[in-house]
Amino acid sequence: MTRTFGDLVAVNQLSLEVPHGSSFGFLGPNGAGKTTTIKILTSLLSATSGRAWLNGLEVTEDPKEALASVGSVVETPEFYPFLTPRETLTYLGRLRGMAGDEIATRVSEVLDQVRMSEWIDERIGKFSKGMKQRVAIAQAMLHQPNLLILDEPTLGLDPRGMVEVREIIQQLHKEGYTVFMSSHLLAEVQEVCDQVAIIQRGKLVVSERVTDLSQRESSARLEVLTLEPFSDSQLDTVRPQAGLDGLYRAGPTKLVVDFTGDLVGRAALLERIQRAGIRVASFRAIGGPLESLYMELVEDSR
Amino acid sequence: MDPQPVTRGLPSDIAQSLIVARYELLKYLRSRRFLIGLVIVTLGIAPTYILPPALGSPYTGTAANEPLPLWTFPPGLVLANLSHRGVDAPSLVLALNGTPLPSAGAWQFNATFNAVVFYPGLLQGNLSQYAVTASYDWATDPVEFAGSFLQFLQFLLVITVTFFAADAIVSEFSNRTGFLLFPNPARRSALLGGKFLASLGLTLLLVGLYYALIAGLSWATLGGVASRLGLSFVFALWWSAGAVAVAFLLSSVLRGVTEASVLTFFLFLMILPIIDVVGEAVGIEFWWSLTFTLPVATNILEVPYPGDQVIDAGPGFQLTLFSPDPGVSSLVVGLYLAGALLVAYLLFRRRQMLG
Repeated sequence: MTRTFGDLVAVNQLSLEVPHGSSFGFLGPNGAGKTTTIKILTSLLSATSGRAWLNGLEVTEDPKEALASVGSVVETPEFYPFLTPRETLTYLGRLRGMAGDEIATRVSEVLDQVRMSEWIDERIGKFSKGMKQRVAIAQAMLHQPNLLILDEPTLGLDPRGMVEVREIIQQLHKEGYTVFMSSHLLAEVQEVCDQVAIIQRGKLVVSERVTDLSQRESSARLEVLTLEPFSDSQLDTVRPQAGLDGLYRAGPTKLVVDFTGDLVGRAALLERIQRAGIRVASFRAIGGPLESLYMELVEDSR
Repeated sequence: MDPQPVTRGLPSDIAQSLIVARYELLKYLRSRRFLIGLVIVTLGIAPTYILPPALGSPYTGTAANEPLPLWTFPPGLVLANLSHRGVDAPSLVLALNGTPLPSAGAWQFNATFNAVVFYPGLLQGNLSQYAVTASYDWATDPVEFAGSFLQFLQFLLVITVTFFAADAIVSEFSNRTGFLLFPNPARRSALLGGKFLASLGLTLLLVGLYYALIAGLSWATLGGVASRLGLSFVFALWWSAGAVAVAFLLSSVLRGVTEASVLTFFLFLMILPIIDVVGEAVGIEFWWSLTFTLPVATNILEVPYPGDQVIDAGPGFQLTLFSPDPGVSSLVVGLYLAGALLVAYLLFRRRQMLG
């Protein structure tokens, strides 16, 4: 599908398939078109051209039916300040066709899941952004949809909240729910998702399984911490190693290496550093394969 | 494991409209605006009721031995006007030089002219020689009583429409609550229908309270209520529906809550009324103006329904105070209601969450 705003092409002939049961990370720099895509999927925006299906139902044609088994959090939604979480979720549950008993049970369950039970009857007007984000996630799960569309689900949460939301998403994924989430946090996506897609300037750059990323030969930035300071001559001994793209002193006992190669190549690099007389205390890739792939594919942000 | 979606039937559009209406009502009832609305109703009722008696014009009273000026018309017909309207005819006693005069065959009270008509006959020739006095109970006419309160009706209606309709649509976009509401399996028509019902419900509540207070005070004070007060209430509600639809139209076009509220308020309280006054000045009936139709709510109390009045407003300058036709006015309001609501829906359906 394509979406334009005047001359700006926000989503450019994007074609993407999210398999049932997957936890799908949707990545891209600012202005890449992630939120625009999610807004089209949730009927908040129309596509300039193209179509989109949710559970096989065309959301661009019949949003009422297509959204029936979808839960979503788009941006950080605002709530009606004079309603409580219980009332808000009951309202949305009724709109989604839930029965009274089911709503009562589920409201307690989902608010408990997002640690908001003690605020269940407080008016949302006085909630912090993080609390609202938790309620937003709770309403998305309320009607037990089989597809969750989450736009930056941990935005506005404190570190503990971020961990808890990740755990919820992982749990839902384990239970077989399909999760489609955008995020700026590459580590978060790598931790939570089993598939990723990266878009840039509205176009799909790559879409593949996270496990395949680590198999893929690609550039990585490695951080090496040493027990003692090392000399320039020791570094010169390391430089001829195959696959080594750059070698930088980041501190008296810290070395950064840009390296292209697989895991066998990395093992050879480590041996070479040690043979140069540098006593290695730690040797690790910074950012992981997803970050490396992202940095390799994404040129800039808007 | 691939979980099956929990299958449940979605409510119909009408059922969803009622759900939306219920929670929109709850939102408004808890808002400060509703309290302000109640205060405005009180302010519309209390001074209008309290001030006239406090300033020496009670709603009821008893006239004792009131001297009657006599008017003689050929061929020998004599009339005497009473100073108070709303005379309780059975209580009326006339006296000649302090001696009560039997009514049978001598005189009759005419409520339309608020006057005593003396029959030609036995007393006629000597009447001018007597001091004629009248004693009677009187009470303000319930129509007049209700009319004094309904002068505040336009302001009350404009306030309720501004408070409970002007931001109904635009707030979902500017306050970002649409991110919560719109991704639900509900058509925009259902959402709009629910919001419209809620706005109309709030108007019904406050305007209904206003009319109930008028009726209650009229009953308690005068012992009766204007017979067409109910009709006036029905027209006021009908007019509200048209005004709410226009407010929804503005709300679906404008970008901010403040501009939608301000424009709605001034449209009904200044812009359209100014056009109406220009029409009165040049003698042209702007029957198509929504505010032009509103006096029907007051005029309909009177039997017979009043006609247009031309008044002198200075040397060589006349104003025509039009009395809008109830049938035409009801039709005009209906056209505003249908037209504005349809356009509001089309705009709302196309409007997108860009922010």
